[in-house]
Amino acid sequence: MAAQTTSFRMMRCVSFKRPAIALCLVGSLSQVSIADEDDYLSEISIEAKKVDSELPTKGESTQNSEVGSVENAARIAFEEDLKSRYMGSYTFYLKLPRRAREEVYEEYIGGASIDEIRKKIMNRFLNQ
Amino acid sequence: MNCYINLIFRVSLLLLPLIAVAEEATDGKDLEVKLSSEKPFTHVIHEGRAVKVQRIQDPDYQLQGYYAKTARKCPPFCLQPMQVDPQVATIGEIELFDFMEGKLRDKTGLLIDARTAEWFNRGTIPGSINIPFIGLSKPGTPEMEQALLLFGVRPRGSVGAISLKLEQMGILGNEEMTEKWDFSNAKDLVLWCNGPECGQSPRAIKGLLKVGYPANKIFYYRGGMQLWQLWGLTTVVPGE
Repeated sequence: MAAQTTSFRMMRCVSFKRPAIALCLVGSLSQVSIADEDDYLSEISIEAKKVDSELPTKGESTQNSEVGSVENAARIAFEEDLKSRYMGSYTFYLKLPRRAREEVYEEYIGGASIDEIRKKIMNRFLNQ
Repeated sequence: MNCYINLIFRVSLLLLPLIAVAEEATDGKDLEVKLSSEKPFTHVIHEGRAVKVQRIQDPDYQLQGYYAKTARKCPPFCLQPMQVDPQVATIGEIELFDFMEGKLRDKTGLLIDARTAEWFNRGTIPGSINIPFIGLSKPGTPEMEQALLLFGVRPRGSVGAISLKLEQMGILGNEEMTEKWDFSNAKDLVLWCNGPECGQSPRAIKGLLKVGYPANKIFYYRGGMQLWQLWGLTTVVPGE
């Protein structure tokens, strides 16, 4: 391997003119990086096994699904939410025909905002 | 008869604003522990259904189990700095609730559980999708490319050499484009993992920055699952 003297402080540095040596160095560095990543992943995996099988804060609608279907529980949760937060809108919602109520719920599930839901309820109520 | 119906209808329209005020006043008043002073709870869509996010209502409740641990082996589970990158905002729970009600619901944002699948499957924050950090930490991988497409990033196709040079000089194009990707319609992302001792979401954020994802569209919820649990907030188990 060729060696050369650099200008700063007469330090002796190895010249990397040969591409093969440089490639070997890059290769070994990436091997170290992959090994580090593998170690990290295996540590994460070991740690994950320590998590309790059931978290204490598991959601309400998930627990309700034991009583009825998941879809019903979610629908009940939506109606309860509407009732507790917007009693007026809920009152109009109850007066809608079944199909219109389903339509409102589907819109909610689709991600519509609560303001959009309230407008939809009034729209359906006024255009029955 | 029609006259009466018309009258009742008009009166009900006049009363609507009063009803609205009344219902705001009754908004979650039965909850002793609210999400914030203004917000008793919120709803988030998770796997196509509504999940109510609220806090445990028992003021004497004490956290038990894995997330009550005060320490983990460091390295690799070392405390993370408050900021992953000077350009990436770190957020807390209040900002996360606002994100859930705003950008997440409007589908202009995504909440990303950046942990490996075995963590995600044991419980996650409602509204989260699982994209493990390993798929986001290296540019150029198929996992990264699929994730970018999911985030609303568009591939640019071939860019002419002159255009590219002008873009590099800042004469053409905008800052939200790289040679390969157009980030102008990219969604806002909130990334999180197990908490202040977790390096999984910071690695994912660094990977996203490497491919050119705009830093102002990335948010780091450092509290992660540990603080989410500590505040007694609702979690969901995927697939249940």
